[in-house]
Order: sequence, then structure tokens, then C-alpha cells
Amino acid sequence: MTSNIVLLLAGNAALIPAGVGFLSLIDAWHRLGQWSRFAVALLAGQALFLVVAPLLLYAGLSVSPLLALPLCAAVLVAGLLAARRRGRGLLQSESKARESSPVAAVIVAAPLVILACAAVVQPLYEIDTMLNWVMKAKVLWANGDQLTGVLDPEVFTRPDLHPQSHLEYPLGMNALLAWSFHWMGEADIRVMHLQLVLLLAAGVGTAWTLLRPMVPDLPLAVGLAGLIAMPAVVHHLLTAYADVPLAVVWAAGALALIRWTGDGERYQLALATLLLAAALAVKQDGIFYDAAIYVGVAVPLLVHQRRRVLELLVSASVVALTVVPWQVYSATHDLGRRDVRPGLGRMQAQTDRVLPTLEGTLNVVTHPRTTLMALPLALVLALICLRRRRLTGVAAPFLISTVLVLVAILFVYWNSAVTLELVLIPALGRIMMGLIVLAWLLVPPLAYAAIASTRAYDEMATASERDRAPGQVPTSAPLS
Amino acid sequence: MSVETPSTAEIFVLATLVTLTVALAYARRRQRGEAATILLVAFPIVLSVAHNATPAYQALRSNYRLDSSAALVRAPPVVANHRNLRLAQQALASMAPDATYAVIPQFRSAPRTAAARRERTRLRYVDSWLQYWLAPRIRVDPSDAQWLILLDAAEEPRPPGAVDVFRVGSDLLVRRQ
Repeated sequence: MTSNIVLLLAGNAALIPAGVGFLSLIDAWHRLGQWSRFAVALLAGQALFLVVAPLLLYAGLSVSPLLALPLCAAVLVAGLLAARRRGRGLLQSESKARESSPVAAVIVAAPLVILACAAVVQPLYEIDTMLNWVMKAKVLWANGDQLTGVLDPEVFTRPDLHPQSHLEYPLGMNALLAWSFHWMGEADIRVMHLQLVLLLAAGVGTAWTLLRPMVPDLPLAVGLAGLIAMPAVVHHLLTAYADVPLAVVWAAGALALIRWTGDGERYQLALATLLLAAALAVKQDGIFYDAAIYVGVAVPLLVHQRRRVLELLVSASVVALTVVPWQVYSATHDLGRRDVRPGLGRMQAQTDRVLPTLEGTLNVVTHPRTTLMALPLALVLALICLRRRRLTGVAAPFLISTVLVLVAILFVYWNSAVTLELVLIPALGRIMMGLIVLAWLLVPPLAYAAIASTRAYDEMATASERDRAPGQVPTSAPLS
Repeated sequence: MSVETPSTAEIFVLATLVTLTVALAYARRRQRGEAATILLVAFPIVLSVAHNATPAYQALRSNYRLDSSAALVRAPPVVANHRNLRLAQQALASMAPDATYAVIPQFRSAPRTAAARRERTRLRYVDSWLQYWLAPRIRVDPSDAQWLILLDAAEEPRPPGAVDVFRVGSDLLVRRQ
């Protein structure tokens, strides 16, 4: 087991250079904190893999290290060349962010270590996880050779051979698990869970980097530790469903997008674009999650800064384009499986689904034992912030995207052909995971903005403005 | 009237909140916002920890706890009582990674009675679980399969084309030419 743990860690470390390259390409690497940028690089590397690996598969290639490592090296070299053209070295950091508190680092790291220890001995329980995520990962790992022939249509795209698997799901998560199998040299289904913990760890590190300008270290560290220990997150992560990975990359992307609305730094938009594309590559639920955050951010921009909506549209278009190969592959191989069939007739016939769905949603978000009441807490704090005119650039997109995601879930459940009581209602806790994670990540900054005295809040805002890279002009008032 | 003794979890919640409140009261004016934020963020976490420390919840968790050897091979709860587990292990040991197999019965006809429907559901889960367990070995039509897995097979004559037949409990594993 120990060797598999080390090899899986090595597999993730191999993705960091790709992340560093990407961050250098978008001019972000030198602007981030000296140490926390490695967490962002890991998440960016994982997100790049989630987006690019399925393209390799559709092209008939493998996701083995033999093919992926040269690609990672190529991204790194491209990033280094771009940084050199801007006159910056690899190790250089221009961030003026305050130094991290060791206490805060310990508060965040401790639950991560405990979770990692629990993960590496975790068996697989859920039949859906086996069929939709791990079985396909095993096939991607073992089929073909080191370079080609992995996604053999004669084997992979035949619903008659995989009667209970959703073959129309995107392949990003399967590819990432196959990547860990490649490094371990076997399909170790217990150590495999560590891959999910590393994704969460990278997401938490990225959230730390993105949220530090808005809230002091200690409350932020307690909040992030709470996310890692949140029973709903722990449970769904250890059942190896793709919902927590989706929630992590989407919430990190949403935070980057929200920061961009206030700071206007292009690298934040580019990072958000990558992460939101990765969310789509994990699971198709990413479609309504991504749409909700783009609309949530666009509405306030339409009111105050219309010309920036064009940049947002470019980002959304790039994210949408990343779905095209998956949709083409799915359509050409007839993999469509329509569990959701929207229509007025169906909605009229299934009105009895509305109340149970709303009731189930309410149960999930108000359950104190599982979700830390993250969503109601964040909603109340966001409303207080709007009233106090603090962090409005955070509160408004969050409120809008929350409403949109909830409406989307209600719409999907209303129009679904799948059994409501046995299948859909128990899955509500998973499908809402993205919203719950984003809400909890926003609780510390919203709480601070809602509670802090004017003087303390202004000091935070001033410090945030000092953090900005030299020459960077904010597009709106700091922390507004 | 009886007074219930507070549980460890309740004492933990109370102690944490009292500590944080005292810290808040003594915090310097400039830090009060920070301390209050910590209190607000910590409260649901502490509440959740307290909930999860209750005996009822711990008892529920202990039902799912496994030792390390069982953890590797445990079938999901829906495939009850480790049934068909030895079959999976035997198939895994016998079949080459690029082998093809078919699981019989193939569920082609609709069951008519409630008992038959329950049995069909159970066998479908066993089939799915075997499919996951045996991947990347590919499940194909029985006419093309190198291996046949006959679930709940009664004593019957050797299937046509069989080279080896392994009986594992109530199931049969058959290698064909």
C-alpha cells in the first residue's frame, strides 16, 4: 500500500509542472503567494488533465504517463518562455500578500491528513460509483497499449455491453482515476481515494489564495478546515462519486470568477475558465452549475460595467467549446441516454414531483449534521452584506447563482423519467454539493464583511489593494 | 423528575462556545470582527461534531466498518452477505485481463411475480458488481464469450464447448474453447 501511496503522490506531483506552465502562460504564477501558488498549480494541473485527457482518448490515444508527461513538459516550457518574455524568472514572486500564519496552516492541514489516512483504506461501496467511474477508469487504464487503442469503440461504446453504466458521461474523472492506476501499476481501489483527497486539497489551497484578500487568516483557516471535515463532503468523497470533485473545481472556478469581477485581473478570468471547463469534464451537472455562475456574475456587470461582459462571454464560449468533442463523440456513437425529457406534458403529468423535491432540498440544506447549514448561513450573510453595501461583488453573484442552480435542479427533477423516491431524492445531497461547497467557502468572507467594524473592514480593503500587482488598476472599489 | 446527564458531545459544544465567547469578549476592539467571524464559522462545525458523536450515529457507522482484508473484496451492501464473492475471486484469478465473458441469466424476459422481480433485481446487482470487478475484461454476448458465468446454476449437464467447469457455491464458471 505504501508504494502505491507514494506513486499516486508522484503522479499528482507530475501534474504540477503543467499547472505552473499554465499559470505562467496566463501571467498568474508570479502574482500568487510564494507557497500557496503550488496548490493552485496542482489544481490547475489536475484541471488541465481533466479537460485535455478526454480529447486524447477521443483521438484514439492513451492517457498513460508516456504520452501525458511530454505534454506536461511542453506546457511548462511554453509557460517559462512566456514568463521570460515578460522578464520574470520561475521562482520570482511579486505577491505582497501578508505572510501565512503557521497556526492557520496547521488548522487546515490537520483534517486533510486525517481524511487522507481514512481515504487510503476506504473500500468501494456504491454500485453507481463502480459502474460509472471506477469500472470505466479500469478499462481506460488497461485497454489498448501505452500510446493508442484505449477507447476502442467496439468495446467502449456499446450500451449492450455496459447495460447499467452511463456511457454518455464525460470522461475527465475516469481519465484522472486511470492516471492514478497508471502510476500505481494496478487498479488499487482503496488507495485510489487519495486522488480525490488531493483534488480537494488543491481546491482548498486555491480557495485560500483567492479568499485571503477578503478575510483574516484565522477565520479563513477555520472555515477551510470545516469544509474538509464537513460530513457531507467526507461521506461523498469517500464513496468516490464524482460530485465532490465537481463541487471542488466548480467552486474554485466560481471564486476566481467572482474575484475577477472585483479585481479585473485577466489571469483570474483565465483560471476561472480552466476550472469551469474542468467542471464540465467531470460530470454533466457542470452544465447548469457553470451557466448559473456565469449568469450570476454577468447580471451585476450588465448593470455597472457592460463592456466587461464581452470578456465574460469569451470565457463562457471557451468553456462551451470544450464540450463539443464530448458531444460529437457521444452523438456519433449513439451514447445519448435521455433520463431528462423536458416538456409541458411531462411537467403537467409530474406536478407531484415538485413538493417532494423542494422538501428534499430543504432537508439537505438545513441538516446540521451533514452540511453545516452552509447554504442558509451564506444566504443570510450575503443579504446582510448587500444591506451594508459590503462585498456586494461577492454576495450578488452568489445569490443569483444559488437561485439558478436550485431552479435547475427542480426543473431536472420535475422532467426526469427516473424514479423520484428511490433514486433522485437520495441523490439530492450529492447533486447540490457544488452549491454547498461554494456557500461554505463564502461564509468566512461574508461573515467578516457582515460583522467587522468599519475600521477593521477598511483596513482589510486597503491591505487587499496593496496586494495588487504594481501597475494594476482595480476595476471597481476594493472588496466592493 | 429525572435529569439527564449531558453527553461528552454536549459538554464539548458548550466548552467550545464558552471559550470562543470569552476570547471574543477579551479581544481587542479591532479584532472583535475577526473573533466574531471565527465564532460564527466554528459554531456549525462544533454542532456537527456534536451530532456525529452521538451513540446512535456511531452505532450506524460501526455497521459499515470493515477490517482491511474485508475492505478490499467487500461487495456493496446490495449484494447481500458476501454471496457470489468467491465466484468473483475465482473468475479474477482464472480469466486473462483481455478475456471476454457473459453472465447468465441475461434478464431478457420480464418477471411476472413479485418474488421473481425481487430475484431479478438482486441478480442484476450481482451482474453489475461482477462487471465492475472483472473490468477490463469485457462482457459480451454469450455466443461470443470465452467464459460463461452462470448465476444460481442448478446441477446441469456440461455446457456445450466447455473446456473447464468450476463450481463456486451455487454459481458456475465455465471456460469455453
